[in-house]
Amino acid sequence: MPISAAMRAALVRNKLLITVVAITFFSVIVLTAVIAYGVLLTSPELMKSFENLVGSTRTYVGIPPPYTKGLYLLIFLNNIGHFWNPLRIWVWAPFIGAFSLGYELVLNAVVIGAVISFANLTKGAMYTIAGLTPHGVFETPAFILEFAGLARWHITTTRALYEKLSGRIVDRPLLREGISDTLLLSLLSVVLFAIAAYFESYVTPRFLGL
Amino acid sequence: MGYIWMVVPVLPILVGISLAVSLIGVLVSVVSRIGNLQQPNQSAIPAAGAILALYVFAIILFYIILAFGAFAIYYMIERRNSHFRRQQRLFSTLQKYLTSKTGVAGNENAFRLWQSSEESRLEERDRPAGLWSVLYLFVTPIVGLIVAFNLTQDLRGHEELQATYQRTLLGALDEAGIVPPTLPPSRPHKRDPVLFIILTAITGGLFWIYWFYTLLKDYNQHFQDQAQYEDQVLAILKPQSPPRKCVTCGGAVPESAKFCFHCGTQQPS
Repeated sequence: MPISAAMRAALVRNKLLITVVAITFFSVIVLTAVIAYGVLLTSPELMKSFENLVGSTRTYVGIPPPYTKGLYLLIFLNNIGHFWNPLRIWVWAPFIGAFSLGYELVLNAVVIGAVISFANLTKGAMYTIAGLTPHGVFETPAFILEFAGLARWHITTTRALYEKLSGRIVDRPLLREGISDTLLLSLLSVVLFAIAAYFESYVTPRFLGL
Repeated sequence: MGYIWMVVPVLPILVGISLAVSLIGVLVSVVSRIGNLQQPNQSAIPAAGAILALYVFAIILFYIILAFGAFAIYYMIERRNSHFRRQQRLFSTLQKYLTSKTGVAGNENAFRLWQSSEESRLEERDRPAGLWSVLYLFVTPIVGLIVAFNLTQDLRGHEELQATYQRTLLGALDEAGIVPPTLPPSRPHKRDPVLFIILTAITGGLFWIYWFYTLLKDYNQHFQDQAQYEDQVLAILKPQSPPRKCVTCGGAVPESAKFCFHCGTQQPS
């Protein structure tokens, strides 16, 4: 089967997972954005503290300048950390890793929601859209596909382990299908992350006039 | 169980958000007060008091929420247990009745009915409702996931067993010379508990809201279907008595009527 057909079949098979991850991700973003907007709007002190924090970030975090390969690699490698970074790779641990993944999903959504509100209040709506949309259209699906792939991995391995531990026969075709779905969704997400990182390093700064 | 029990998964999220916002509020006021005052040590006491009060309030709310959850878990397991016990009695009674009716204990359908009855008795045992709710309340709320896993799996297995039993029962009724009823189509609930537990984990617990809803809905639907099914089966097994006649006018009177529809005379009970 050609890779495109296999990819399409994997996407159809994992429609439910993709939908659930997407709904959770977007609902947490919206909820956080609304709450953060309310909190920031009613508390100028907090707003000022955040502005100081963001302003001082560059003094202690070595972020490479825009339009450089260094920034591209930093963003790309950070986004695909679940596949290579020993500190984050443990999300692949069957069953247990799913809980850590859930925490990461909610945390990422909360940060994005808060950033949207903060940027909107300090720089305006146009700046926020220009700063988030170009790479966001690739990064968000990539993120959802990565998490859906990991969810498929946990479902497959947990089911196989449960069957094995309870003395039943492991459904091998289902196990193979689950692993192949995980690989295909992960591959697609890595490709999208690569494109998103390119946009974030070379296109978004142009939009923001950096 | 009514859908008011949906407060169990929804309440912790609402309370969590409210507490997080309150904490941010307290911290902001503390930071601004410390920044404005000449003597920061004096303002630290009320600030610490506010944080401590929030902490105590959070702990109290945490246990109130857990208590709701523990009650819900208790009722969910208890209604599952009582339903399974009731069904085991029905299986056993029907099997005995039909065996006595046909007079052949060794035929295939009678054997299968006995087999299903035994399978139900051995595999659908009671789960300790009190113990699970105590574990939920005092050990960890993650116990709720284990209970939900078991309840989802139990209902699936139970419906599969019941479907087999119902098919066999139709054959057995036919053999006994009883016209089998036209059973209403039951709504199967083939939910995968492994999928649900992973989705709950991967969505940071948000999927738990839907899972809890399905636990309420599926069991409620199952009980409704079961009630209809039992009514139909028991109606055809009920001995057909001749219609009652009014003591005064001789008109037909329903079995349970206290007065005659035709002449209004009180009927003997």
